[in-house]
Amino acid sequence: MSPSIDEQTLKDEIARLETRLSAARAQLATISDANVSNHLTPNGLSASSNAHLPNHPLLLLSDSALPLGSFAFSSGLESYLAHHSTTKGNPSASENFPRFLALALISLATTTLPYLLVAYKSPEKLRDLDAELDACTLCPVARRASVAQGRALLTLWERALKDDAGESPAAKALEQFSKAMKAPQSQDDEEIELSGHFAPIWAAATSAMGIGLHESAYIFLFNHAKAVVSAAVRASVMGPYKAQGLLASGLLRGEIQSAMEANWEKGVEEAGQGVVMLDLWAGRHELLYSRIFNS
Amino acid sequence: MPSPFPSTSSHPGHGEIHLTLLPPALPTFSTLTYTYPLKLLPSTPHILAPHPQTSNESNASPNGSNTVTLAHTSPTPIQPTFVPLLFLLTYGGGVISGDHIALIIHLDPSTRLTTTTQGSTKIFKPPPNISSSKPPTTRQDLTVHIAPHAALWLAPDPVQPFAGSLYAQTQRFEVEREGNLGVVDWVCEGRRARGESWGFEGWRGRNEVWDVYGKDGEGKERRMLVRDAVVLEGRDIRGRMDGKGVFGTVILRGPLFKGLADFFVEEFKTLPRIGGRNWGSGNEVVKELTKEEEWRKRRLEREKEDGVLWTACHVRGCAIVKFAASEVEGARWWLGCMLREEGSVGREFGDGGLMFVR
Repeated sequence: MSPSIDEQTLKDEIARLETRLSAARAQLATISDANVSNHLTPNGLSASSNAHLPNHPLLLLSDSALPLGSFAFSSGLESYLAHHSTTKGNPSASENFPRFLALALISLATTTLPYLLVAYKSPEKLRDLDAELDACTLCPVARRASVAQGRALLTLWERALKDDAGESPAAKALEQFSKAMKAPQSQDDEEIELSGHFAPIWAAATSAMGIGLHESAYIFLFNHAKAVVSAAVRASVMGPYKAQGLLASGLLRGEIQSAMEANWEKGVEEAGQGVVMLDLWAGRHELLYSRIFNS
Repeated sequence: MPSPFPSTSSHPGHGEIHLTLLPPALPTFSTLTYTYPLKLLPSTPHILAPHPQTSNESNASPNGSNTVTLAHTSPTPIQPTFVPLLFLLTYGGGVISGDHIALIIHLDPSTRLTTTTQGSTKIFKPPPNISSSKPPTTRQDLTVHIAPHAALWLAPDPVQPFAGSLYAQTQRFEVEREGNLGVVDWVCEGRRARGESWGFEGWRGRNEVWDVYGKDGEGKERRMLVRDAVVLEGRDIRGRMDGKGVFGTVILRGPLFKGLADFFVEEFKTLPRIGGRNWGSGNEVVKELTKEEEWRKRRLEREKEDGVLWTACHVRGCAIVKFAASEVEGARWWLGCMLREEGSVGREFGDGGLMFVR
């Protein structure tokens, strides 16, 4: 066996163990939550038997049927394909795709993960984080995607998720944020304007629902990967089996984990675009002759 | 023994520029200090043609003895008689590992400054005898304050980080209302001739534009308008660049740059659709192109040859242009082509402001 395959096997093993560790931690968090409020423990099930069940909110929020409209965005993929179709001798789109997926994850992590982490730890800063992230999101196409999903999640939180989540600083922050969003925004541009970017709202919602920080960040990135892969299927880059294979692969898990590690210690002022070409591809999405996606 | 020479700034690599306006409209450097390895070199200023509106108004003024009023109360701002040109230089044309350049620029109301470099700023890699796991970061920090009706055009050559270098730059621009900012910030892959291609350890760049407002006397408010941050770290940076050898950003704000900002955004909108087909039969009558269409056609051909990709948009009170090209020369040609066609940089800031695209 070549050393690279050994390395891959080890990486897969590490990924698997870390996922199990995360799951165990999430269960522990659920138990301690349940012990405090008894909120999530159904009648007849003790906290200890509850520990053998999967994390319910985790499953809910990692579902691609979550009505956030994420399917409408290809996160630069459609434009990337258009920019790479004319050059002859290039590898095919499906060969190129894993590379694009890695770039999409690096870019999302370097630009937004620090915001997610701070919003999770300090949900009371939600408004400031939203304003700061807006100042950093200079590509109008990327901004559109972030704001559309953020606002959709805020609506979903209010209408569907809030009632069962109980009281928490994050829930309170979301309520205040939502109220401020609905208030007529003054025309005075000296006011902090609220946009409703995705990452901070995601962080607050997952925190309010008792999902651990690592899980929150992992699903955020994984959901993005799922949306991009799903866009690739609809753009005829690959078939559904290959797509699922990619989602199941250690390659993707490795990419998500290394993106998390690389940005875990960073403050929001250290966030920045790690894939400058993605801003260009996404920004030039406006120039596509025909479009099936919004980004 | 203490040094017999006066020292205004004791830190190596620090510099300070304060440009003020003496009556009636004479720009003067009230402060211009720098320490090794930074060097600030004034060059031939750009003489401004009298502002047609201003001269009309002063002629029409009933009490001609007092035509000069304070800039922020005057309906038409005072125009300085000339625009100083300042070269930002470093000894040897670059900065070595661990250097920290820190420059402060303060522009008083109605002053105007053009700054550029003489060639790319090389970021050298640390000497091999430094045996730490991570080389010391080379830093360049720029802090700029732009008063009402003042204007800065900061147009350097690209930063050229050598393989193995570790670099971070922060540029913070505080722009008061009616202040003007135009900045070009670009970075290339390294020494292409030596086979270097995005082979540095790390590169961080951060450009922030802050809106400064509120009445004098009271504490001024500050709000971040845009932060353009790039973080190139970790493995396979080259693989993220998709074959490009240079990328950059142009940030524009203020009434003096409105024409240029709109020009970029409008030109972006007229770019040909990607993936579009020509449905024409090929035998239509070739219509004669206007001068503008001729220029655009030629530019688009060059964009294609040079692998230039760009975007432009208005966002949060600024205009942001992002560009990338296969090589520095292609990006240089494209930027020069755009700036010269629109014309306001040459007119308002002088030829010195276009030296970086020559």
